[in-house]
Amino acid sequence: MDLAVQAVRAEPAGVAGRPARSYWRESGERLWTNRLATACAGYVVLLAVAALLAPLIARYVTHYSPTDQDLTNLFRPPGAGHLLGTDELGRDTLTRLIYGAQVSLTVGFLTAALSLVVGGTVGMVAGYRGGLVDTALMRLVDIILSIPAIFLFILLSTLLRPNAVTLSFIIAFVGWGNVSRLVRAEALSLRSREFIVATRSIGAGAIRLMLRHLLPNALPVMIVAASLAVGQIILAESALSFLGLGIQPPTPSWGNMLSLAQQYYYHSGWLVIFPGAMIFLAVLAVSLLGNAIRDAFDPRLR
Amino acid sequence: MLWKFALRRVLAALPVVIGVTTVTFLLMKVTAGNYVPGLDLNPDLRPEDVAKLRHELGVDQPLYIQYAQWMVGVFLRGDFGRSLRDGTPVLEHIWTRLPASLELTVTAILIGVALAIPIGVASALRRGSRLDNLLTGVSVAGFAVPQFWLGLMMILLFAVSFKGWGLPWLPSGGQQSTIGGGDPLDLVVHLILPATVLSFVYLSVWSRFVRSSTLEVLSQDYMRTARAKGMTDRRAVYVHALRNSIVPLVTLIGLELPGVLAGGLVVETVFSWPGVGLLTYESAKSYDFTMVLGTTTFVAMAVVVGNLLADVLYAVLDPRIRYS
Repeated sequence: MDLAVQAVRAEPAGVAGRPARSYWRESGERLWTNRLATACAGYVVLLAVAALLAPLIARYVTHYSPTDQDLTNLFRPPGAGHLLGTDELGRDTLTRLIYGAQVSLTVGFLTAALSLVVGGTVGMVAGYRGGLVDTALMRLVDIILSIPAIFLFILLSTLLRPNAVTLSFIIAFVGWGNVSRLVRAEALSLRSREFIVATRSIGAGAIRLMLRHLLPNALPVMIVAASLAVGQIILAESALSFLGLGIQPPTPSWGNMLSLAQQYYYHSGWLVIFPGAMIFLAVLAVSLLGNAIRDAFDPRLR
Repeated sequence: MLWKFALRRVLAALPVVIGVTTVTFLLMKVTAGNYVPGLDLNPDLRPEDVAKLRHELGVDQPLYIQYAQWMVGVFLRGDFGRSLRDGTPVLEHIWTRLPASLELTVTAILIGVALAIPIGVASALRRGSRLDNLLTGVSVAGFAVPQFWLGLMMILLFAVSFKGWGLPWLPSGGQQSTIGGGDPLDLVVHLILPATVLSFVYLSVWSRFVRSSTLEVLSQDYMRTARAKGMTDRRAVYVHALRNSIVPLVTLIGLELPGVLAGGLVVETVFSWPGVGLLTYESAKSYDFTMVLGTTTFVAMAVVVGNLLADVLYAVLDPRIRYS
């Protein structure tokens, strides 16, 4: 038995003529050699570090807190003292942008994680069970996806006036649909494969089967879906905050900074330019990274 | 054959429409409950007046009765409820705002399609060229740019700066000038910025799509035959490839419809465009839940109908589709 296993394990290396490497390691290396992807990953890490260290940066680098008002220094253009200028209450724009990264990244990743859990579970159950359960769950997905997302967000957040965590739940409520469709398709095709049939024939229960055998195989698809979704989630969060239905002032977020700046673009254009540029760059970096992750990890693309 | 196919599609869409109407209603009740804005704040109202008003709005009924009233209203009487602000029918507000929304959305889709086809075909024909790479870059950027920011930047440039530089400038918002507006030129001038902004995101998605479907068509046997009998690449594309590569675009536009309508809400808000999106936004700001419920349900129904039309149109345009 042991010998047989060893023989099987050793074989691929001999056949392919190269050292045996795991799927994860191989995909990871492919991602690492993509220069654009590493640059984008670098930018995302930089943003995350800045967001985590925001209080320290505010104290020792920019010397302003995000809520410090300075009524003698309103609408200061970018320059010495205030690198990116000040807003209508004399608050330092740079400090507020760094704090805004906290909101956008928290919402982006938390929402992606939530939609993965919900969408993954629903998709796996629908695909594995099939039949009536599948039909019912997929019709529910059809229904949720045919309501334009922002209307649904507005419906949910009008009375709630959310913070970053509730906002993540609201966006995930809409976002899990796409993930569940992808996972379902994957589970559907895996269901009839020999190893699943074999596992079932030795008596494994449905839960064990899904968690131990379906999940690892569906994971690449889920990771790709999540990494492509983060950018769109950040866009949704900023749009909601811009409309005044997301993160509420005085907590700074890139979206609500733009919403305030909107009234002053006639004389202080930079207040409009910087927060939007932060959203654009963050979404761009995350999306390009998502594309690279798809190219590296998606088994169907090889 | 075709009408049978169409009928089957309509029957398949019905449960989705009913589901949408149910889901939006339940979500509204979960978040807002039976809260009526303003009633608890008005010191002139006696408790019995409040009770009377709540009764008139129907919010004192148990949930299942309210649900039954809502469903019967929507499907049998075309009644999407009444505004919590002034008691007028929600549908009346929607009808007044709908033409503006249609004008903006249809123009944006037309701009998107009109530009996506030549851009997609051009990058497919010159695959890997500098032009192709540039267009790829622009479309990635288009997917990442927040629409409201793009809108503000366009206003900043074409309305504020152009005016400052003494160049011909564009209006920063509204559907027409408040004083002496309404002539065709005035309407077009107001439409340019919002329609461009709304079309931009979909332009990048659709041009990518046209590019990949053109590439696929280019490798077909009949294209090789066309070139073998002496057609130039360009002519072969225009005569044979184009129709086959843009037919799938119809389906894609149908699928992107929720996105276009959602984007419409943001763009309408930025440009104070008096459409259904702005109506929804203003109602949300004033806690008019029934209005938000009504517009959301209406827009979701429009999406289902739009998808249905795209499906049927696709079957009409592509003779290879078997109606099954």
